[in-house]
Amino acid sequence: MTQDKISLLLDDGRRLDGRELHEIRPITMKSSVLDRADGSCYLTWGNNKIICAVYGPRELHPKHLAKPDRAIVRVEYRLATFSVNERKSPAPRRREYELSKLIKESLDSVLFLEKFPNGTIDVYITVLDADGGTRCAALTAASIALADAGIPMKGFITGCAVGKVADKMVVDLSDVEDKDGQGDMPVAMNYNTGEITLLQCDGEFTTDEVKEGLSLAIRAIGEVYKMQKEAVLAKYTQIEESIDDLGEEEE
Amino acid sequence: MSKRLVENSTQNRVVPGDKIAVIEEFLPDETCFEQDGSILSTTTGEVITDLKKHKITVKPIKNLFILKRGDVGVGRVVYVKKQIASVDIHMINDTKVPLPMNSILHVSEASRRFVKNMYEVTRPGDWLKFRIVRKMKPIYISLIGEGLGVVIAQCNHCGHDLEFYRRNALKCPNCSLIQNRITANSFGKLVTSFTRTSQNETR
Repeated sequence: MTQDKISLLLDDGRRLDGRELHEIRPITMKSSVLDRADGSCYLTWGNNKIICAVYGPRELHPKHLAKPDRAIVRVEYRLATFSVNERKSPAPRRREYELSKLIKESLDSVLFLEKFPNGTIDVYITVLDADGGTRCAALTAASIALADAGIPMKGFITGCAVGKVADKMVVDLSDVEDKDGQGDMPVAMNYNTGEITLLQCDGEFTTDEVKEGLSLAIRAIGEVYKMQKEAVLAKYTQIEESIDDLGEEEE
Repeated sequence: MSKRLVENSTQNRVVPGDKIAVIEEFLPDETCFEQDGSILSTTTGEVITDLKKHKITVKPIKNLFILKRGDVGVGRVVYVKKQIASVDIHMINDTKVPLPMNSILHVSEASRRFVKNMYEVTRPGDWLKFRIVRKMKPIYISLIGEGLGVVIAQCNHCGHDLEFYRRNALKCPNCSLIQNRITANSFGKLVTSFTRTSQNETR
């Protein structure tokens, strides 16, 4: 444990990648990246690279799964074979099934599913490059893709992980901090309403640390939420630009 | 005056979950929802307020199919009983529906005049033009209104396409049988590529 404390924080109190304790990694988000999907998003969060596609609401097959009063959400979270250090088998593992379920339950809480009886909304998330915190990043990307598809929602789900490294609470853990740190706590919430839709905890935290972690996570989520809004509204800029281009061509 | 009262601000672009008004000011429509006295947007778009009718709406950037009361649609009759007919909805407002929808037509909604039972209104396999009267499940439809009724029908006896004989009566050119239907004004004219393909598939 002493070894961890020394190795995960630099002498000046910064983290191994040069970040402050409460600093998140650089994030870029782009919506409508796939033509064939109803909604899509490409997100980079530090070294994480995630692509998400949403199809629906559409007819559900097999039909015996359909609910007569609402739609169902199906989420497929997958790690690409080349996303981790050693080749990962393309077959889904237990972790991927678990994360698919978590993301589904988190998204369920913000969607107006009763508007689409007998239907389905399919969310496909592929992690192209994984570097810690992919579940939070995947949820963030899925929210943008759903908004891009025009599916009615109560708000965006935004996620960010916090954790404990060298007895200090840090925000947005990288892969090394996730594996060698003392604990991690992914949080996802609907930032507008303050509803927490995902909260997991791995490691040992005191009550005060959990409280501090939650407040840090909410602050970080606020920053990510602003970027989500900009990414969704950027579609207007794309449309306006394409209209301008058409006008120039006609001239 | 009404023009001035309807405001469409291009600057006021919102995303899902954004607060756009309070419930004392406006009535929310299907693109918004109310939570703790506030009206929040459910979709990405531009806010349009109507100060005359006190309504607020979000014009979505991407239109999604949502069934509304009063929508006019086209569907195929699946089965007919004495008082009801079951109709599969295929098109709403000239748009193919993305989800399978089944609706019920009650005999009281078939016509303004007296009809003895549903067999005088429609038969299985007919294509109807109808209006939605209840959007939630079970979806109810009505044939009361201008231009609504049976638009394509086949003979019960030989399966040949029926021709218009007189109002609310059709004649089979093959077996000369005259059958009762509540016909639409546009009987026989609603042969789109969509209905033609569906007919061929079922035959």
